[in-house]
Amino acid sequence: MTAAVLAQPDAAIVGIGQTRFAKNMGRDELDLACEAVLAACADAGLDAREIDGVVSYHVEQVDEIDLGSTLGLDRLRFMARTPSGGGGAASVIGLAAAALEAGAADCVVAFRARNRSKTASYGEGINQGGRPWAKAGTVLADSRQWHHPFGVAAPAQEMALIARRHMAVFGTLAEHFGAQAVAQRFHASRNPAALMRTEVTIEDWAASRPIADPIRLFDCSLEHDAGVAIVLTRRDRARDLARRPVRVLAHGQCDGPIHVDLPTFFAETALFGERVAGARLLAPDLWGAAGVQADDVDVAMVFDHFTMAVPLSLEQYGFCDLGEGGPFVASGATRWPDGSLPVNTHGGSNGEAFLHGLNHLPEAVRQLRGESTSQVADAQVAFVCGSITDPAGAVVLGRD
Amino acid sequence: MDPVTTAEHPRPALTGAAAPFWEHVRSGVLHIQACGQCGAMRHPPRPRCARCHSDDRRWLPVSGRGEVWSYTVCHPPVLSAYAERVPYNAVVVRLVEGPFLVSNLVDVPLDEIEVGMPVELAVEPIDADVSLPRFRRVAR
Ligand SMILES: [Zn+2]
Repeated sequence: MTAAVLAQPDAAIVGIGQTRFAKNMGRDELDLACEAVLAACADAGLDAREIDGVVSYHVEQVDEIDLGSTLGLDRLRFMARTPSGGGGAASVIGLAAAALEAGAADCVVAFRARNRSKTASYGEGINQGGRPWAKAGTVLADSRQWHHPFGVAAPAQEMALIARRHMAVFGTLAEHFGAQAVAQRFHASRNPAALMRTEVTIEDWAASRPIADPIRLFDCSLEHDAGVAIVLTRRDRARDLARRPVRVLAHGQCDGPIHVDLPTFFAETALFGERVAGARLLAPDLWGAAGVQADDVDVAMVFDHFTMAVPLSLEQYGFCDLGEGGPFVASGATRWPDGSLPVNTHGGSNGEAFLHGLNHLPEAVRQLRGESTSQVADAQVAFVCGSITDPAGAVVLGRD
Repeated sequence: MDPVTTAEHPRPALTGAAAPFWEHVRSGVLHIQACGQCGAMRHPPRPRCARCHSDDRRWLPVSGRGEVWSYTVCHPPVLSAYAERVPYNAVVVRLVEGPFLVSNLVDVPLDEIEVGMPVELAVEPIDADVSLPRFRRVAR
């Protein structure tokens, strides 16, 4: 490898921005996205017109061109979206970093905006307002025909079927998922931006109503309105901006089946040790590229549409052995401040907010800036991953 | 399960590549799509064989026997067509031939459902046009 390649400028997160997280804000997704993008640019200390790249999720309702026209972004030259919903949580940062590393853009914003309050639908899209399964219709020509006729339509039901298999294979208990729910609600109780500010106990979790056994209400992500944006630029340029940059040490995507097609999911998944694929295949490359190992990570933000995703993800990325995720969480390892690997220190998707995981990225940045409300002392390395039940990916971030 | 009497039971469109699956279920024998060249089964149906890439396909009858690979008990919120029968079971069945199906168990109390439970096909019509491949428990 030549010195020129080694000296290739890499990517850094220089700004984070978010709207208030609340139900029924009465604002559409474009409005929320604009506020988040402008807040991220203000945090970075740069003019939004310098943005020349936009990345988002394929489920995003805000069109890149609409965003550009609204904010006067007249030099866009890189636009891309990740596959799958929560699977893209970390991959959007990977896309942005790849664009910067390739010279396809100089200043990239990753964003996600949602309007999902039950009473405030601004559009008829399946991902806008209310519950998507209530809008599915009853005559199904797509993959929903393999689920809905049997009463399986809500993500909680699909994830329950995945969680139950993990319990049967490895002896994981519903209470292990509950331990993560309780830890995250504790983290959320310390975070003024979080939707859920009340701490709960494992007894409260056990008393919360069952949604789809083994998943209870307190395991579930929140539905509301919100926007989040993250601005990245090249590391050499980042040093001239307002905030201490956070380096993207490594990023990677992985394939894998998706929970909305469970017959294919169970035929192809690697979650239960059938094969090394998906996140378990990505993990060694990711750690190799980052120059650190799972043991070196100080704090992790793990996509958690339901809390069952946390132990399953930690296994796949090598934070614990396959099948040990449940006991690992139940030991208190993921709970701030005493856990060896505090996870979702902002409160996660059942405590702070649910934006298909994009709100997890700003928390990783806050940890590396020393600004979290549940700050891990001297945090140097943070890990963020997308949904373990989707094609996904992960990023490793470090203080510059 | 009891026939659903509420209107608007979610149903397959009975169009496209999936139509033969539902026609076969209605006739009472479960069929799974297989590669016309190498014989590999796949479900849901797809236009190509992932093993040999052939686009030859055929529908093969299968035994209808399998095991409960996973299960859940669904509480609200659920599809409106299912609202009157909560809590109800949903399962993933692995057929002995390999493919997986999302389904329901009939005539099994919720607290007796176990992963690994042997099951067999129990076709249940929801109306004149559509039958669902559900499963019943069988002795080990
Ligand atoms: Zn073939």
